Amino acid sequence: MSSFSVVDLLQSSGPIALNELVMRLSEGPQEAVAAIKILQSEGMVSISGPLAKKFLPLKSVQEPTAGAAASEAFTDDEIMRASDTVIAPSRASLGRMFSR
Amino acid sequence: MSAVDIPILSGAALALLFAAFTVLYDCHVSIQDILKRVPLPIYRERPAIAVALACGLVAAVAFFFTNGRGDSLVDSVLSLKQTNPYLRGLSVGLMVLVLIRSKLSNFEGAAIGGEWAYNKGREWVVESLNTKWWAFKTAYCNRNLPSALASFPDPAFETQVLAGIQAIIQVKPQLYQVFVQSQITNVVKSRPSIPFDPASVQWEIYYRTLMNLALDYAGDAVFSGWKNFS
Repeated sequence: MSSFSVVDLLQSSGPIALNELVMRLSEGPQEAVAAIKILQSEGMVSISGPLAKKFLPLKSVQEPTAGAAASEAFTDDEIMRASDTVIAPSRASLGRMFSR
Repeated sequence: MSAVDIPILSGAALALLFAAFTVLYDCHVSIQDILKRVPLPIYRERPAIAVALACGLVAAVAFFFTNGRGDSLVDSVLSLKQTNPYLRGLSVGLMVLVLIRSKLSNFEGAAIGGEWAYNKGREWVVESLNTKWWAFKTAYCNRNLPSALASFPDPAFETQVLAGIQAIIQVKPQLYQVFVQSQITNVVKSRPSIPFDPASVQWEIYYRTLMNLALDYAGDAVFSGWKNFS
């Protein structure tokens, strides 16, 4: 695991391309994407760009645990080329920082 | 306008100005905590100016509820018993943030009222900074990436950029250095294993990531004086 969290990184860098975010983390592409999916389900990050829809949980699957809802799978190559999918800290995440 | 009003109006104006200045400074410090380094001059950001002026207006209005005798809570907290309207304006301006962000604005740990509004204002400022910073980085990379790729292998872009980041962050706090160094280590681990090719997507992504990492934590000073960089 990284010595810092995805949220720390996003809050310090601002919006960042998915592939760059993955490269800056010590986790592999799949682990990093799984972490981002959990953050998205918690409302801590917002995702835009061509791969944004793949982060959304599949509607047909009912999964009770937050962040673990099944969504479309990514290939490593797809993640590492995702320069135009942007991950940004959400207002909720910024708000949480200020209210600490 | 009577002569009596001028000191009072000047006091209110001073309260507004000093409150606005205090808020800009406080925003800068608190945002620096999150962004590690505030990438753009905060005093030029419209949301920051709006938040500062809003707090300044609160200070100016609060000024009219003070007389320096300390006979009300607002007066005791803000005016520091200054009867001189100029000094009172200064005092109210510097102290109004204390009132806005006081425990009076909290309910069972949750920020309400002034603190809530102030936090929303700061979120707005960070969002605006983030949007502009993203646009700046994208434009900077698009402009300079071809030069970076063309510079290989002499002098190697990555050697220079990493040396530049290290030189700039070494004066920063230890935690900051560790945070940036961890990212550098992770990025370098992702260095393409294929031979360098300026047309290769992998090398382009690697160079872009290095460039953005440098911009995020060391600023564009890393590239100052670089040939063909603008």
